[in-house]
Amino acid sequence: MSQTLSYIIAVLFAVLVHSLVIALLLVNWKVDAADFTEIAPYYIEATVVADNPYKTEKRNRIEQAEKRRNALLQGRRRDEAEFLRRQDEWERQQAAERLKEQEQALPPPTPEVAEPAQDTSTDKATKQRDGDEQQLALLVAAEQGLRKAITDDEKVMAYAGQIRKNIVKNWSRPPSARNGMQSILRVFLVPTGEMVDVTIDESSGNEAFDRSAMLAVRKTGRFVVPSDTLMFERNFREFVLVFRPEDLRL
Amino acid sequence: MNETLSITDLVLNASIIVQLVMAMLAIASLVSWVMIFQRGFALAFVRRQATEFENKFWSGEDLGKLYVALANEEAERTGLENIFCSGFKEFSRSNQQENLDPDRVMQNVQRAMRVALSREEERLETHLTFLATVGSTSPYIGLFGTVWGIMNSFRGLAMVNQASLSVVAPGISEALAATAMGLFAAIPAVIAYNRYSARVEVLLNRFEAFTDEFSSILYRTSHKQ
Repeated sequence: MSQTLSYIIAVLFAVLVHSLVIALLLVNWKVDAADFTEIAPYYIEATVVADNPYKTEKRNRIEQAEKRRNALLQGRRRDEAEFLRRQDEWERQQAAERLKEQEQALPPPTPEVAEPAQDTSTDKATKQRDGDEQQLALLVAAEQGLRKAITDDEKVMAYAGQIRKNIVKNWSRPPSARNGMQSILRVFLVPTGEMVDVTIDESSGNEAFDRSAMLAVRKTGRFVVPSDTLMFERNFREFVLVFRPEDLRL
Repeated sequence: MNETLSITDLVLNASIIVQLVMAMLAIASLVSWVMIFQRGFALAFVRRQATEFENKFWSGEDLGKLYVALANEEAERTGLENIFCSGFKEFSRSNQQENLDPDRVMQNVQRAMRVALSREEERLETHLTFLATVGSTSPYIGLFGTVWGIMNSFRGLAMVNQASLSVVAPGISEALAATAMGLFAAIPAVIAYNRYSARVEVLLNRFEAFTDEFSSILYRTSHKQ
């Protein structure tokens, strides 16, 4: 074997080794890139402005309430007109009778008989009117309540979103966390937003995971809550949190 | 930003100094692999020849005939054959001078063989120093490239308002490719160096043993006369 031949063979082998390594690297790199899964966001906020069936339904309900109220008002006006007309008629009748009485020497005690009848009719009318008004007031209150409920819902959602954001920020999941785990925590707050207690409603089965969720709530400590006491009492005095690691790869 | 940073992007997007470092390391790696293969072949060849020659030498063949056969093909001779030839040549030359003391003859023969041995040693160890150099310095060269690349990427980071991981990460990734290449060049070189120097050591011990044996044979023949 001559010296030059051995060199040529060595060069060939060296080039072969290097090209092999480069090819291996390139192939592996591609596989890695394909395996890469994008981390899903924690939640998606989307609002459809044009066609929200929920909102249109609410709007329809409001419109219907308005219509009903208008109808009721019309009815009441009609009733009132009727009542006035009847009263006028009755007065005219009364005046005619009085005239008749004046014409007659001895006036019969008809007014006394007629009087209670008239009284009862006015009573009935006023009663009906009161009832109408009450109904109306109830309707108006209901409508206002509906309107308020929309905004309250939105507010509660906004506050809940804020709370969720804060907790997620403080949440460091243990390496043993897996997709599909779920631990439900019950949180008790005072009106200032401070957490007074947190308990596990439903464990995920993984103690480390539960502990991490508890720790996230404890670390957050103080939550953003509405200053409206009613809203607070209804939604935030005691609420349930669901911890679910959806964005993990495993 | 490119979502999947391919290896070619890593090399092509690097700064010029990092690219230079990478090119240097690639060449060093290539050359060191050439050396590794060449040395591997050469050392294996020398060992095989030595075994063959020793078998021939101890087979009881006439040493004069053996010398004549080898003297004709000087270019093909390796290791033990060279030592044997130089020793035998010196012995026969010295023996031709009538009035020479046998001890002086032996001194001459031993000197000639020592020279041949050192020449063989030199020949065996060619390229091993290169492997040693690549093995010890290429991690540092790669590290230099990495430090330079990271320095640059942090300098770039200083000018950005929103410092995020995705701003620094590609630069650091590029820079780390240089260290990876340095290690890639260094590891085989170090392994080959250690392995081949051990093999050379074994061969030289064998040569020395042969030299002693051969000189004792020559001593006996010279003092018999």
